[in-house]
Amino acid sequence: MGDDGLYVRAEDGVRPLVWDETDNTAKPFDEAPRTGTLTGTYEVAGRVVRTAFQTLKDHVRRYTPEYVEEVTTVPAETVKRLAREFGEAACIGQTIEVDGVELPYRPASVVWYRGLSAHKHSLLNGFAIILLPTLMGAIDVPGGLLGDPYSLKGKTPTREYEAPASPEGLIARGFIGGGRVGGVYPPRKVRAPETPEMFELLPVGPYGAVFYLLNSEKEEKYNPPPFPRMLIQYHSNMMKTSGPPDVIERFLKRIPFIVSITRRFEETTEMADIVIPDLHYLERLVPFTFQHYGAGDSPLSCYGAKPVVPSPFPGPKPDEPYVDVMQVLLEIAERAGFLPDLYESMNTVAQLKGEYRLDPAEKYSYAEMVDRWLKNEFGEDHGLDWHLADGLWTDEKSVKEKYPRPFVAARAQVYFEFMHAAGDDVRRVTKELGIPWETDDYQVLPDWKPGPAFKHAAPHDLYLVNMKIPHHALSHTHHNPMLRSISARHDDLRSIWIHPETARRRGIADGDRVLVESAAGRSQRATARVTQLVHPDVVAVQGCGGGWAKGANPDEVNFNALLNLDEEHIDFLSGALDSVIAVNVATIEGGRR
Amino acid sequence: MTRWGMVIDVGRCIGCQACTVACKVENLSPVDAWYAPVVEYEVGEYPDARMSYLPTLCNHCTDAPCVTACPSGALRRRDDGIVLADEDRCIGSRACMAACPYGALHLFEEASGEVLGDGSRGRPSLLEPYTAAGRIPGTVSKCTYCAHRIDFGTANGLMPGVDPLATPVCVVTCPAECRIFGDLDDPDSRVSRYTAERGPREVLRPDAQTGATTAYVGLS
Repeated sequence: MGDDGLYVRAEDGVRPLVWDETDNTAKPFDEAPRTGTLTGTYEVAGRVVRTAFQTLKDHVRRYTPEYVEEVTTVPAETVKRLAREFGEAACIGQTIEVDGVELPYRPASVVWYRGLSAHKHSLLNGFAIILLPTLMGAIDVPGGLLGDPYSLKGKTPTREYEAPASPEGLIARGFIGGGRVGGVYPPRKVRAPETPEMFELLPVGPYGAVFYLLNSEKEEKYNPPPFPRMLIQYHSNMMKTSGPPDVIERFLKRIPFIVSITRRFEETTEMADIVIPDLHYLERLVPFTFQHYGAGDSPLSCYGAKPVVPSPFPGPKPDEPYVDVMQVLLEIAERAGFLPDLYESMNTVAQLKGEYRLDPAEKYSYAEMVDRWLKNEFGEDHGLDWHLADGLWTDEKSVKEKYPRPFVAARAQVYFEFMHAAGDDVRRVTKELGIPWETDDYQVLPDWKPGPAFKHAAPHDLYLVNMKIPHHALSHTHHNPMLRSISARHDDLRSIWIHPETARRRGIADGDRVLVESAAGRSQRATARVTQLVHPDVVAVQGCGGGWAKGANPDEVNFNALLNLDEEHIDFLSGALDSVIAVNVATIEGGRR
Repeated sequence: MTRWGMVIDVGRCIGCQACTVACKVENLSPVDAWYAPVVEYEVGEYPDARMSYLPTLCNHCTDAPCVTACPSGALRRRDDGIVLADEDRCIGSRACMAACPYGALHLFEEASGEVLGDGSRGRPSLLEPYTAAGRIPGTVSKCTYCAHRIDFGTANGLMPGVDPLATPVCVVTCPAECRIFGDLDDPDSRVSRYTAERGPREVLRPDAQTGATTAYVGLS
């Protein structure tokens, strides 16, 4: 790479050059040995250039264990120990034989979810973390981080794996490429937004729903395209899942007509003009609810939902029970006149082929569509009848399918050069649109940058974080009566966890009712669980309970009700909303038990 | 002679409560009665603190205090070591509950009126399915080591502790495989071998000297 931070490329302007030590020349990557030079500074065509790895090495030098201790309070010695253990565990150079094939053996891995991703600067966080297994060669090999490098292009009887490389020779699907990390590479072309989601301005972001809310709050500032005039909402409760309820309420009130398809009256349902009953999953017919086509040694597998309990509602056609929300949507599409378009979309999305394709001139029941979809995927003898009688498809994997990375010719990235062009693209379009947009994080290498809650002024100097507990799957299981009953035994849905010393300084005793208040003035009531299990500067709450709909328990803590929705808390690259909240915690008057 | 027993490797438990829920579903235990609860407790001080878990259930004691205390003969110990409560003979004296050092007996009271005791308001009671399943209000019930599964298995050539259909559901369900079940009198059974390899075998409340057949490794 040159002083401009960009790859030095071949004459075609596409292929990056690598340094070949065997003859001391720079060559296009596909003309040089794969064991190219990792480090060093060289001269190419009169320019002083460095390898990308050398740049990474120089870049991370500033992040000493002592610096990490200053930011995180994790002792430098512990940081060193963790780094040493991770490196040793990776068993660099060792191999293992799987099904007769010798593969790299790298039993060291990192995984992450909301704890790392839902932050300001979250894309940089993700880049930093993915560098660890990338540098160890520990992705999609035995012992390493097993992902879904082929996205949904997995192998079934009618499909084959794909492992595309970009023209630059880089992995273009899977980690760092598309898939889990959210399709960061290659970046999408930036263009003027067509909806208030403004997803077109996020060339490396996985989703932009938070911009619906920001634009709703600051329409004059961002001049978004028109807001939708109608919303169909199902299988979600956005009043509790998408941000602060007051913000979402204002957004929903912009929409003149809302249809809610739901199993219970939830907070979002209460905002609807029309409510259509939804089904329990044991009543529903949905193919492909689970698909495992990715890496790992478990078999390829797929199954769906089928009605094991008769649906209580009649369907739109004679003798066709109501088994899925798709039937409602198909009926709406037909009445609105775009059913043929929906069929074409289905042909594309499900990759229906030959006799299984939907003819836009015809009309199909939902059951017929499911039958075609299944047969297209698994063969003529695996249609709807098979799904209802059996429905579990499995197949053994080859070694290549279990651990694909050693078989992929494309290269992994440790230097995210594409961010340079992506940032320029965003700056150009947002300038044309005349709207302010944060682009500082379009960096080729990650940095740590403080989030908005970092070292907040007192009294809001505690970090409220959201945690998981073993017997709940986030908040999805909060309505399960048995799990609710177990939660009642442990009082975990009403509690916040607070360190004893922190509690003592604030006059809080175990079991006290407390008020958790954000710097923005949003608050929740909770029961203090004084525990050694949290950092003294942290208070933690499980899931996202509470609510105000019928059947909800308002004594539970609704974490999302404390979120902040503003530029300071939104990552303009990934669309993440920062989920560390600066709060104060104080005993409610008369709240002492 | 067969003597069924269980060993629980405490260090393997992740606190997911899958055993707790599986037991509830399998045995349709009454409101607020959990035959196989997992107890949470904290160990250490920050930053070296952690949550630990203790799976519990009836200890199916060789010298079961509940059997001795029961005035109506509703509690009995089978030849294979399983202690059962006969709800038809129970008179609700609660003597067994007072005698058991492990809190493993549960009185099915009709008064709760809440869904599984979760504090929900205005929801229909689940009492009816329990009575439909043969539960008798005012009587005691308890963990049976899933005797119905064991009896089904032994009658059909299956091996409890090995074949899932013949094994207590809490054992089958555990994703961490921290529960091992089998014949304590067979030195080659999985439970005997596990204890020999990973021991020592410990019991809760050893001072009670009840001869518990539910035991632990990694307890202390």
